[in-house]
Amino acid sequence: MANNAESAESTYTLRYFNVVGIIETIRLLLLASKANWSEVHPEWPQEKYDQPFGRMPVLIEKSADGNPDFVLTESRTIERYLARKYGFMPTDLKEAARQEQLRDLQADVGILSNEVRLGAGDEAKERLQFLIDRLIEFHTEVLKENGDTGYFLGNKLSYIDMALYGFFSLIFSHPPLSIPTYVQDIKKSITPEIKKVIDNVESHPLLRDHLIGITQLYPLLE
Amino acid sequence: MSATAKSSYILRHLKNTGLGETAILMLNASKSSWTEENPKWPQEKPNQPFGRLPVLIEKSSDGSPDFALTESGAIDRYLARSLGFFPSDPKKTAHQEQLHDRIADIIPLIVQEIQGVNTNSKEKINELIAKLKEALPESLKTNGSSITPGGSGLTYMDFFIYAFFRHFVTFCELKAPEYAAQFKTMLTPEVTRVISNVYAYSNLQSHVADDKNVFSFLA
Repeated sequence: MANNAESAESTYTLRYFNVVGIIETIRLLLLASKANWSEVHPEWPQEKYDQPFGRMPVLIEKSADGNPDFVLTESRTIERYLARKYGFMPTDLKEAARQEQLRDLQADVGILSNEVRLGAGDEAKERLQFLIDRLIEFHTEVLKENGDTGYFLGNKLSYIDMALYGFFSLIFSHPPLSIPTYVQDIKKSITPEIKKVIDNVESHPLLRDHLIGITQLYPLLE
Repeated sequence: MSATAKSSYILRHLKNTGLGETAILMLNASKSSWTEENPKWPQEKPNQPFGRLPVLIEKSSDGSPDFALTESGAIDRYLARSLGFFPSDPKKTAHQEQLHDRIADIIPLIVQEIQGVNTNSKEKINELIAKLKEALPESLKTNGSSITPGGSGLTYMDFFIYAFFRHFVTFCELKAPEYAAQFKTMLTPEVTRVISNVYAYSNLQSHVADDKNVFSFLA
């Protein structure tokens, strides 16, 4: 277990909807950190105004030493907090910034994908295709620079391995119906370097039990 | 010792988006060696390392390759971290990032409404603004800077709050005045103190001098 002087035995509650959604990366981070955590699914919209900003996800960290709960919202802020706390963010600031850049690009694609799903027209669809191509290209480049090890950092799991998996799970679970071949086209464009990462995430001993269900619903590979 | 002590930077951005303004404040506040570029767009798109703006290019002094970074959030956080503008407590840092993200969530909704791309968000925008207004004073109190006379002690949050009111709220005054009016009700003593502290910081003097025309309370 992570040895963190301030909260060696923090326990977490994660509040969200009972879907893959935008928090799969948070789930994977909590699993990989071996933290003590549970997920709750508040009644919605009845419990909307019980949430700190009327939105979810919400992460509540209870420390073992009686300090007040630490409450955090905004999904990628939660990810970065957990990734740094449990050693999944590179310690080199430039490498960390690169992972954050890739993650923000994933989020740009996720948001645009959702806009197309909700009816945005041809210009948005073209931009979406452009961004997806760039996303695959940039992730593959970083993997090659790392020696094509099947991980983005050295030879072990780091933040962006899990985030990339969470990103694909999200967009495959909610594809825009106006692009009928959306999921198949993206799967075909997944490079061998990225495929290795997906395989490593799916077979990771701390993640594989959780991911068996996701892979059945939204298989990332053909 | 930080490698960036001897780095110099290029920030390439489109001025009208306001996306580079927090980075510019931090680069000036840290007295970093840096230059600003405003490329012709979209003509210069193929010449950018990632085909997008803003982009930060960090040139080291020891001959190692340039470091290029895109995504305005990633750029801002990288500069905040490497220039020493994050609180030392990771929980406070996370709460500063949370406040930034809450503001950042509202901006594209308003921009889309102005562009006529998405006109159904008014209720959501008003709700987010109301919640931001509620959350702001507490955020500043618990995660704010300890400003010392002379201005050191400014953090990431001070800069993005300043940039938000200086640029985006000013933009809203022209294009979305009903939202500008709501944002200006957030100028409570806690918030104007943050803006005044940034304005008064000696390292920023030449950059912010004209801003007293924007913020009447600075006069």
